[in-house]
Amino acid sequence: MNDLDDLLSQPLDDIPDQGFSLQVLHNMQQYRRRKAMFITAVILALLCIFIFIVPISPWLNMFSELADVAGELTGASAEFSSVTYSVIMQQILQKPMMGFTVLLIITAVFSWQEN
Amino acid sequence: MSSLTNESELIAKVLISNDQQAFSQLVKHYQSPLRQYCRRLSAPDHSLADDIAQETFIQAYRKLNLYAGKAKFQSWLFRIAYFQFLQHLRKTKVYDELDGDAAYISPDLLGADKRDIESAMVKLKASERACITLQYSFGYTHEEISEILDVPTGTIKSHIKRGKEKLSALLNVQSDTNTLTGVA
Repeated sequence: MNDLDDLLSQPLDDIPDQGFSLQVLHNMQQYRRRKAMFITAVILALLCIFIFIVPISPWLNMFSELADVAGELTGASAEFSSVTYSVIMQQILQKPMMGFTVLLIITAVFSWQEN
Repeated sequence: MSSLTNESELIAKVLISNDQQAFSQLVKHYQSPLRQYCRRLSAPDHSLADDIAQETFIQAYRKLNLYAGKAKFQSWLFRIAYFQFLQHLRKTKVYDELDGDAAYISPDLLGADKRDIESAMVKLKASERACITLQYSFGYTHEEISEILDVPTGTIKSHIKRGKEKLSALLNVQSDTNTLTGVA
């Protein structure tokens, strides 16, 4: 051991936390939020592509018919459910932006819960 | 520094249930050594050191699934920190830190505070600072340093030798750079 080794081997001063850990956790939360937002954006983009590329109106009509049958089978609210579902489907088909907004809200809620 | 007894348990908690409290405990435990190391790397810029330390913890959190558990968790953090620092140097285009000839040694330090090791450290290249700090301040062996910095053991030895020669000249102290007694 020589002088320089002695100097170099001196222990480094301990650094007090002073909010450093909290700042790390804050940055972590920001990272997770950004990640959730990115995932939401990707999901929405994929949904948009899906909606515009795949002809979904026959599916919606089929879903509407199924809902009518289900309503008839349950009896009491057959007429109501049939009308309700038909109206919803018509609204979605006529106003794609509304459907898009609903999807946006649903995805955002799921992302928020994930976060 | 005392070791964290339930370290593996905390890492498992973060991996399995994304437990932020567990990660917080890891951060609290390792913040001081990591910041000490970063301060040596980015000397004399303490603000940059803390930024690198912050980014290191975020990267560690993101890539915790890649931590194989072979090396010590602290070594893994030091490895991330070193590459974060190199990335910073590349961004700021401080090429002389990365490679090339030995950094210019200002004669200002001679005859000034000869025992000011931190000031003298600034005059070394980043790789030399890293090697010397890891060996002398944290007690790593040459092989461990080689794994942390991802360079051959021979290169580690020459970095330490050159770094010590410069420090010896700057601080005007005795140094036997030929022996290179690694903490084994």
